[in-house]
Amino acid sequence: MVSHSPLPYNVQKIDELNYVFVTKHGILYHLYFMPLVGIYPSLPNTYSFNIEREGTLPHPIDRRIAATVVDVLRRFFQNIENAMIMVCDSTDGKQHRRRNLFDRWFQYYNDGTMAAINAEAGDSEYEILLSIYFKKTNPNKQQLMKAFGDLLAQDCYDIVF
Amino acid sequence: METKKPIPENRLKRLLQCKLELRECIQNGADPKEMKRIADYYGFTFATPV
Repeated sequence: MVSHSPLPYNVQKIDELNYVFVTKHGILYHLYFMPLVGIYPSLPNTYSFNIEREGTLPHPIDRRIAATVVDVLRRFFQNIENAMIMVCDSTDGKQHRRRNLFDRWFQYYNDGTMAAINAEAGDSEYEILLSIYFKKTNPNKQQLMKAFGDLLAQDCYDIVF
Repeated sequence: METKKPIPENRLKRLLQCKLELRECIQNGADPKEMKRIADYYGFTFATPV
């Protein structure tokens, strides 16, 4: 864990798994988790994590955004049974940028207690990047790894929009 | 805005389609009712306790 971290922004909790914060540049970010139990019941306590911002204009680099995301994830993983899936798709051509950015944040956050599995699927026209994150002490980790493998085997087809 | 797209059988595609519609909704101002409607349509919810 890096010391002298920038301060996270104040996060407003909309509900149990939905957060917003405003940056010093006035940009509003949404961080939300969607439970996957409805479509992947074999993935216990697993959520799709999403980071979205209002508007589309570019803005300067702001390290407090990463600190804020990390803060929210730290709280999320206080329940050691929680797992998180990130999906980056090539619809807007930013999938690698998103994953690389998130990988950097993850490395920054990871104090050695987290595990991650990365996967890629698609063809020359469409690409999808999937990652699953969980605590190494998650009592369901064997099941998570198997179910994530099943997801890749069963659902990484016909994903072109 | 009404969702016209059918819900995909492929579960991953269903998740992606929901995510993309939510992204568009958030980029356009994030109307909470619209966000909830999109999530509900695809069978997700924001409010499940951990």
